[in-house]
Amino acid sequence: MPTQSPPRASSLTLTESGLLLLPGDAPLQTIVDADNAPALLQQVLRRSYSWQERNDVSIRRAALSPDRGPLWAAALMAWNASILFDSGETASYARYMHRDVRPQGRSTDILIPPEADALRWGVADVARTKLDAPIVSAVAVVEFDGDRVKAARVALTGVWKHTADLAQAPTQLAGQPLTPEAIDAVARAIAQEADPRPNFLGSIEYRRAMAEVLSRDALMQCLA
Amino acid sequence: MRGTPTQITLTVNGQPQTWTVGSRDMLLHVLREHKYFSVKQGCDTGDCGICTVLVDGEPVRSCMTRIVDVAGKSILTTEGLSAHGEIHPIQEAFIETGGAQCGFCTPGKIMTAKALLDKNPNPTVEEVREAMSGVLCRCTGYVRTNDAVLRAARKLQGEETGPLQPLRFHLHEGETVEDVELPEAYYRRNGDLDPLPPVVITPPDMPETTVVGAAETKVDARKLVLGRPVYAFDKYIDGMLYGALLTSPHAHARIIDIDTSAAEALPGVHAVLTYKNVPRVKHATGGQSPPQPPPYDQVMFDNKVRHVGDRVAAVAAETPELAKKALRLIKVEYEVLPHVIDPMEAMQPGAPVIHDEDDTVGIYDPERNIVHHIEAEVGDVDKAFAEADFIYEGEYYTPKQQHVHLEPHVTLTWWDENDRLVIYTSTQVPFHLRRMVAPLIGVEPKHIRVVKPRIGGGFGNKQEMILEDVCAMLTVRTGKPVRMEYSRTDEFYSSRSSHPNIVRYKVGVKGDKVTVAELYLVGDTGAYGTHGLTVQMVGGLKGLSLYNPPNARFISDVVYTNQPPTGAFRGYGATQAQYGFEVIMEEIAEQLGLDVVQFKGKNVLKVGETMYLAEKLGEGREGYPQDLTTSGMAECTRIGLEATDFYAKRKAYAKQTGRYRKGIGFANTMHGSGIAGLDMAAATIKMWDDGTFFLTIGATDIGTGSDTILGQIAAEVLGVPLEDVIVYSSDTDFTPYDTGAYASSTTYISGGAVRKAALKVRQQILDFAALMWELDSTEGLVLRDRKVIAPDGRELTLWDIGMTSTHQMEQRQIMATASHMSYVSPPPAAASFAEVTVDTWTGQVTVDRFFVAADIGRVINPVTAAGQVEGGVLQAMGFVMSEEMVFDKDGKLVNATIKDYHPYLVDDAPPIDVVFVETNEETGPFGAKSVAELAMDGAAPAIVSAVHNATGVWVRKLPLYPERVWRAIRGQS
Repeated sequence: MPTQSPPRASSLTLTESGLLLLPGDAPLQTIVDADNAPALLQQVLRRSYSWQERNDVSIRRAALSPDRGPLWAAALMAWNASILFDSGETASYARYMHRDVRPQGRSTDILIPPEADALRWGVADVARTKLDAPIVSAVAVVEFDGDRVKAARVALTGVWKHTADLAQAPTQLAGQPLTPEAIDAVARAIAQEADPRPNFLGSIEYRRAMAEVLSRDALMQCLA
Repeated sequence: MRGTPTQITLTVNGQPQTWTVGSRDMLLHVLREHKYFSVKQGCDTGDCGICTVLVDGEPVRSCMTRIVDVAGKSILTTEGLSAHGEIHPIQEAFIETGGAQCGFCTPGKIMTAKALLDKNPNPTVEEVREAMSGVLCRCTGYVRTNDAVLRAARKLQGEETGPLQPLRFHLHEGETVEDVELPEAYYRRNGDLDPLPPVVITPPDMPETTVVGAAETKVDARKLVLGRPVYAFDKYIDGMLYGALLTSPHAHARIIDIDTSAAEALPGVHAVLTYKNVPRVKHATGGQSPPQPPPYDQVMFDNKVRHVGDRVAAVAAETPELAKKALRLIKVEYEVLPHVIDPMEAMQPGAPVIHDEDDTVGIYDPERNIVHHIEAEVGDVDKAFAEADFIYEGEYYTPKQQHVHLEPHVTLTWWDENDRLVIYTSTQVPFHLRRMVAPLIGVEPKHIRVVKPRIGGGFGNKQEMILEDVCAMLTVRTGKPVRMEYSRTDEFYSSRSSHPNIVRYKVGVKGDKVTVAELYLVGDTGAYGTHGLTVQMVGGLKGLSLYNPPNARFISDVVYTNQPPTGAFRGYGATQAQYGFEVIMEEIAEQLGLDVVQFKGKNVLKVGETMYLAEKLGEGREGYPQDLTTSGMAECTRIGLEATDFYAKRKAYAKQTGRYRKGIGFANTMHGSGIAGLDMAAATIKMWDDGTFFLTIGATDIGTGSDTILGQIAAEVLGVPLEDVIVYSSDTDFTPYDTGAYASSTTYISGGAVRKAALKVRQQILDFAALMWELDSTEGLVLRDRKVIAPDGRELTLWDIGMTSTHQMEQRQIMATASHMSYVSPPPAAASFAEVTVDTWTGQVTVDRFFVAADIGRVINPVTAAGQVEGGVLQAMGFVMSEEMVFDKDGKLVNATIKDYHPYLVDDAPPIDVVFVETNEETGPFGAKSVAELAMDGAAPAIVSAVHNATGVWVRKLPLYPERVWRAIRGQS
């Protein structure tokens, strides 16, 4: 009889550059099982993929073909992930998925910053049911420098031509304290920036409205 | 084999294997080729998870895992859990809890549970829900499967468990349901998710039974949890051909020409069927009693296609790949025609005429695509409206729902050694099929045998001839066995669905009494009219009988569109129509300032009252008079109000102002028990010489547990435990006739036949005992505990009687056959309560809890009955919240995958609690009525009611997509 599987590596490798390596060929479950993986990524993987999928879909495949798990792609963008190529080049995951850059070679692994005290994040989505694919979702990650925002990224799904993309508006938070008023302003700007495609689950108007609501929700979680 | 041939080694269930595989072959298909049939296929696109196996201990979807990627690894399938003949505790737990209904998803569930419990021996219910969410189940509502995993954890730690037992309350003389004190857990005050046992409340006057009423484990449970190859899907025959269908890419087109020469010339292709070479026999595909309700608007293949997915041609070839290749070689010249998707547009002058052929008769108005126009009326409706104090009108919309049974349609056909054509198929109606297929293929019915093995769910979609005629024709043409199966995409495009309905009510009230109602239903039947007439008639009857105004008018237009055809779906029109009436009743109560529970309670159909429309609205014909003889509706309501703390919550929730608002809703529903004057069943029971029994029934167990409860009925009458009754069902050669598994008829009608047959056998046993004892009569003889007991205390065992009657005295077999039908269809009743949370900023509705108190008459088996309710509620919840077949302007489905369509998964589902309030329906076997469809009817009105309580708005169009709720809250349509 088969024996129980050996425990997977419990930690992701920290590279010399201080980034965590998400091995492209490893199953998604590797991230869920790792004790040093960002909790954001673990949460969105659980939300987006079944246990089976996390075991039989590789990290690279899920990142490059995110239609089944758009929230995961949004989380990678918000977490400022980059893709490593066998040519040695790296590219911002968000820019690569937006077709802004075309590095040479084949993508291999993904690099992400490790969890840090100065990083806060939030996730919000709307769907028909808890486990349904989100109609619209937002993932916010805010890097703090003391009381002020060093950088803020909000990636959304369901409001762009692409599966997931970063909004530009959150960059205006840099250098400011993160306040409900500032979040309101950014959320409204994100709604204006959004360029949704309608389908039976959401009109343009609805998706735009949700971009505002969910961006606000996700950013408000960063206040906590 | 797909891709480059490659040799790999791996271990399967502990056995080293070396296989030559294709580099692109998937693990699922290779395992099944090597006869690991526990590994099931539900979608082949990674959406359902029922193909789960363990690879090095980790659960994976075998349909999405390449075989070459598991080289060198260790695979565990369900067969491997019990490799040494001992059933695994997880499998045992699924048996004990009723966690396996149709059983098609069960191996995937069991393997996922194995992986979970290996890693986490003591999981919380939340952890179970998360872990198990990767495996879709359509039967159980997940209550019992979650229960099974939690129970398995305890078993693996050494706890002794037995079959799940309900919580029973036997009322004594003078007691009522108000004297029942449910345990605290049933109030779910803390949001607990734990699965709770069903509750059975028995009134004082209920006769005592032994086997009937017991929580017997299902008679087929063992083979289901072992993953044995018991389905049509698991059947393969040496030398068989593979049939495949070419279907239309257009919503509406005429076939100008079709050239099959290249396909026919392909080596390995044995037959190609098109409209050019099959007889044009007009028929309807619905499995219904003859004369089948019109219209006969279908032929096996036509020179016109009327929906995307409509049949164009079929081939039979030596491999599935070759069959697909042959389909690609068929050249079809289409004249694309204008099409219409919306039923209201379809009725407008100038709309495309979908059935313009001259050989279809019985279409009411072909030019306006109206298949049927139905009118029925009682009382003086116009006068009653004129005299009403208030008149209310409301329009509601229900979606086109797909059944998503996990075993697809699968049919195998072959000529047996006696030159009889065997149709081995996943059907709910084997006897109807035998009669229906015959004229289409030119074979007399007497030469056809239809066999239904275990079936992986149906929910109405297998009350239809879907593949059987084509598959049989391919066997007739080739002389060879042929297998055909639908893919999941085919199921969406080319099988059947529920009827989407526009539901318009006009209701007149005098004081607090509903005196008059008018219901107009527009039923979209899709491209063909199968079940169109009868679904709408049932809608009219059930919709207008629930509150049964003496003045009632029913009007319906059943309309063709260029959508895939609709058909039978659990609920069968009642779900749609009762949804509308329930909601408008609450709207009326609100506007009149009345307590909705009291208002409904005052008006609901009561014992002794006549269902006014019953004589006018049968199924496709006039019906029979129906008086309500039993009803536990008031008691069910009382229990639900108490268990949900309804009034306190209702009041509190109505005052909310924040973003997230809770709501509680309530609905009454009633259904029927079989089709009055139409459904018929027969049963045969023979006693073997060892004193045990063999029950043969035509009734079709589609995963509901009907084989089990029919066995219980026989065992009860015959004074033996269930294990002494072997049940064999659904084989037109070897079992008696039964109309099939539909219309909630099996317990009531088939159970009636079993009881009658058992009573005859019982009398023969007593007669024989009297003979052996040389008594003049059987007076005073008692049959119980496997023996006959005389008044003086003498005993004869059934073994004694069997051996003597067969071998020593008179030498005759004790056996009997009986038939049963009924001119009444007593309605089971339920009170449903839903609790929701609404995010008013996004419109997302989350169902937090569902509580059902149901009167199904005598509860023959509380665990299987609860499973029916739990599963029905969750299927209905999909209808309310997420499930709708949506078409683009070209008539193509935009959500033809399980993932995009989204039936409820484990962690989507709220806790569902079930309380049965028994009544003794004298026309039913041991007092039973029915359960399967009743469960479908309450979710929509209860949830919509709860959303209204939370937000103050009515959302009348289903499903409750977030945007619809969001707009309603903002006062937008």
